[in-house]
Amino acid sequence: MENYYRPAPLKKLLPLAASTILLGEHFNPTGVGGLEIAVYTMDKIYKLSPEELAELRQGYEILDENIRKVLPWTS
Amino acid sequence: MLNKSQCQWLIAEEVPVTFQVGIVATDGVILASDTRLTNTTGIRTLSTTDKIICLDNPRMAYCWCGDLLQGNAAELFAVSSKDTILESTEIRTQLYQAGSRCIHQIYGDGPMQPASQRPLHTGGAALIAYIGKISVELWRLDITHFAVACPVRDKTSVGDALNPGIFLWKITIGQLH
Repeated sequence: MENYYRPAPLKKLLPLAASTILLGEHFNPTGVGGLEIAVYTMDKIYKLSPEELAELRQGYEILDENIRKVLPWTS
Repeated sequence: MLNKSQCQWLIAEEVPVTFQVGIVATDGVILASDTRLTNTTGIRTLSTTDKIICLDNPRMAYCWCGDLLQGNAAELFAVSSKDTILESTEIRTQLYQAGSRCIHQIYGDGPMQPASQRPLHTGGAALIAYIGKISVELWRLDITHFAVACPVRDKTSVGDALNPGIFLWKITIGQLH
């Protein structure tokens, strides 16, 4: 994921932020867990709702599953 | 605010084991954090908490890892910049002053005194999203025995030193800021 960050709109970067934290949970479940995201624009400050966070978590899980599927030792 | 008599709070085992990222987008800033709180006072317990604090005046938000010192410094910055919108140079100065003031409250005039005489301060960092006059800015305040404030132009992460999550960021997203 070194190359995944690019300047982009918030909407496109949210999955990257969520995935990074959730990967932290995957590697260190006793020390890192849960997800909280706050977004800041010139117009508004808001925290993502539980539904939005659940959607991001689901996206991460799908991505994780897809990566596992293409790994050569899983076929 | 912390003072010397309260330094027993700064015990590494009692602070959140935290992993947080700040990302600069073209139209704003993202702060993301885990929500786990590890407490080993008495029985080791895990609980869930909000680690990102949003404020209306000044319009900013912050989160931190490490012990309470970083959070206190961010809070002090918020108090000192109330009712005003700071320029970037002022943000740097005020963050530095807030961090330095908190360090001074812990160490006094001798931050480099021998470790055995030092109160235990684990070090850490705070991420601050600040809504300025022109754009939203992401700042990072690192506090060890001194304070360093710098603006972040792309992405950064903070985490407790013993947290493998911080190493994860290195191998996935990129270099630490």
